[in-house]
Amino acid sequence: MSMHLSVEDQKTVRGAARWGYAVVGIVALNMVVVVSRAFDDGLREFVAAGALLVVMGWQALALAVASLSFSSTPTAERFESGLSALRTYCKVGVLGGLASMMLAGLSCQMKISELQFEVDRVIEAEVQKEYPGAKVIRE
Amino acid sequence: MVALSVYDFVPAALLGALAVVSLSQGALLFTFPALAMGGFLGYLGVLKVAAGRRIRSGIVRKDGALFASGFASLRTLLIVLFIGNFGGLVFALSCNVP
Repeated sequence: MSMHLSVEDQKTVRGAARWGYAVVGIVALNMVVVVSRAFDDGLREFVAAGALLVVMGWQALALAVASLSFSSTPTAERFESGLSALRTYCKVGVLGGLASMMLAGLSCQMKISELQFEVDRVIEAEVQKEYPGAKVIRE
Repeated sequence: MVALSVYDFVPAALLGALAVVSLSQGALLFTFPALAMGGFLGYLGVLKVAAGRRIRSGIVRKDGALFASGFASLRTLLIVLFIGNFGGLVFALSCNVP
């Protein structure tokens, strides 16, 4: 026995596919913004941006494949390939999202250490201005 | 897809824990963004679980209406994703902090 999809059901499936295309488009625009800012900072930020781009691109590709499958004439094979692409989309989101979050966290940690170094440098300069020759003792 | 959707709740739960900890420490600067982001991710997870379960049930029971209701959940998920991505794009374009 095969599954019957009414006209309304097919419209719902095609509506989801159209929103899939919209999400792919907006993700592509976001990728352009990420690319344009990838070279602004140092190497760490470049690597984090690269990982984010891979995740975003892979997910967008999987979503585009799923949308293509669901927006065409419904057949069992097309639905199978569309659902497979949706599974890929979810898998990449889980694994790649975690990896890119870790890289972004690493980058933030590095920035905090740079900030601490900068704070120490300013304190040292202020102390030297007030008390020339004095040494700052850190506990 | 349903099993994978459960993993969506991990960052949501982490952000919820961050919100509770920051609230207890009086750091409201972290509390509200963590709550908002955690709520957003949790809502996405709920939608993904609903979509995955209904699509799967529709295929198993050969029920076209149930299958299509899963796609309705998927459409809502995609609309929310579109709005989230659009917000991110507007924020990125309006934010000039290097």
